[in-house]
Amino acid sequence: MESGSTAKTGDFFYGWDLLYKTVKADVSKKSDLLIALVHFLLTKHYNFRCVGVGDDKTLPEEEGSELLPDSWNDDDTKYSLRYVHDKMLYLLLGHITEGSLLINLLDINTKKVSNICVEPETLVPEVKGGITTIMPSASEIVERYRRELLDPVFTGNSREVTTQTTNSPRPIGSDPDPLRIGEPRRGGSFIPSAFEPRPFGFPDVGRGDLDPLGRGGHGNLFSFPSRPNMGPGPVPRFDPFNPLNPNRPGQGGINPDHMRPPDWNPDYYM
Amino acid sequence: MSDTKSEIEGFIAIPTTSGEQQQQQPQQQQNEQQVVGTKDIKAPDQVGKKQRPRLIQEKSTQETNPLILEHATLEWVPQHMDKLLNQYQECRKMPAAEWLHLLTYLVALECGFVEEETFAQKRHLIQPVPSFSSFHAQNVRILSEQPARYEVCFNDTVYIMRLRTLLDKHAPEETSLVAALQCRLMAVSLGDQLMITLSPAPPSKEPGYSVSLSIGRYVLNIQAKNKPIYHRFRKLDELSYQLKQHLFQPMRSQQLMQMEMKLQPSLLGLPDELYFEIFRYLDKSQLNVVARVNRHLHFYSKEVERKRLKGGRS
Repeated sequence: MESGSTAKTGDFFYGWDLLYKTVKADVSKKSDLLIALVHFLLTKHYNFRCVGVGDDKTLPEEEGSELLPDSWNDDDTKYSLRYVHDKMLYLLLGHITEGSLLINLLDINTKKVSNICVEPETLVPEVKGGITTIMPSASEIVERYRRELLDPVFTGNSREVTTQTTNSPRPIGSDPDPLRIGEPRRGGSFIPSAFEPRPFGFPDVGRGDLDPLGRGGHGNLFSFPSRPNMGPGPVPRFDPFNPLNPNRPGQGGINPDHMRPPDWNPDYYM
Repeated sequence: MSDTKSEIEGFIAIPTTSGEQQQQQPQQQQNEQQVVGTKDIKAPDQVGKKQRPRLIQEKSTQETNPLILEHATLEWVPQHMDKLLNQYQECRKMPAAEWLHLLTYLVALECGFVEEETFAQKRHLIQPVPSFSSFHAQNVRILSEQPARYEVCFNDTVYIMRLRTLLDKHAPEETSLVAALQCRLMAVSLGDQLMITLSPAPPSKEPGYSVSLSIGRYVLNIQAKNKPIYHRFRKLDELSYQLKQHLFQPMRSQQLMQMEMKLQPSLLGLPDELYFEIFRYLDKSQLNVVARVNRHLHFYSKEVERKRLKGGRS
């Protein structure tokens, strides 16, 4: 249990040391650290960006920074920081009165406002050292910040609990099919380079016999004897240069028994 | 960095006797004018009819006596509002945010809160306020006669007032419990907005309550001559609702719950003597039924039975 809590605390406050070192020279009182902790919570876990000091209600054009701006704690009793989140402006105000620090968070757009009152002398024993030395109950303070300061004003979710999603389309081939063996067999491998691509997407075996224009390859199983090495172009089903002579034996290819005999005269009565 | 409002000290130094005399004269003159007006209005043939004047008087009485800020109009305002604002007649150039802060204080009085220093001075005159109620007309009137004590600090942009919740006379006086009744009202002026926060006094870790109000919505910047200051105020019903709903009622409920007080009117939470006055009319079987409700009623019902056995009141 303790190790889990320690790991959680360590992960949650990862980055605090860097922020503390950037403002260490400016820290002059204990309330500075409580304001810095609010800033850390807003910037790291709620994705707020600081756009400067003051209480100006004009939405700035700059994106803001994760760091505390210059002169953020110049006033001994007052803090005014401006934040931007999702193109909305927020004001973080702190006032020190009677030894306590009253912090307000105001949403400029909706006019929602929250508050929390903390005692720097009680919560911050030291101003130098690690997070556990500076604020032994930092986890409890952050929980109070979240419950009393953030939740009433900010309706978004903390980065910590938001699931990261991406809208980019999945690249082709990023999820290969384990049942696939090699590239899918597609058309083109049987098309001779000398001929135009097949039009029907099927293997061209015997395609020439069906296509009257002869596209898709040889139409006959055997080449013509008169033109064994015919060049590119459509392949006709019959030889256009040497038409068949039906009277010559072996070239007809057609059985002539059903044809009339030459000089046949059916008139036997003359 | 914080300075007490100098005008308040000026008002405190004003002799009360001369102030009362000055205030009484205009009232007498107004009364005489009203009487004269009434006489002039009456016709000779209506002298004998007494009912009609009474109805008119009753109606005018209701219109001239709104009880709370919510019912104030341009013609008639509550007495406590009139009394408090009269102390600032010479401060007409006060910022609109400060006027709004004073209106907030008036609503606080109506909700059972009192400024701490005023409470210390007028404690002997303040009546107990039951936990299931908050408005006490006499208390509000007495407290409004005193100037509002608050600090103006942070370059005159923040007004701070220390408040305390009024309870009944049976409220305990332990230090820790008294601290639970204390809170701090802070109003921060942010241009056209007034951010008001009511937070418990440290070291309490109970949550505070805040609301952001548009100054120009409730207090006009224009002040007409020869007109009372409250003519600058608008939408007082909405203002009263916002303050009560988001600040004073939640805080008072929170404080009373810390004191284990009853928030709703019921048979619980009454003064002790009232239980005996009520239970004396119940017979033994009825007292036994009441005793089974809870420990509180069990105690009182058994006390009544014990007194009867000892020959007490029957």
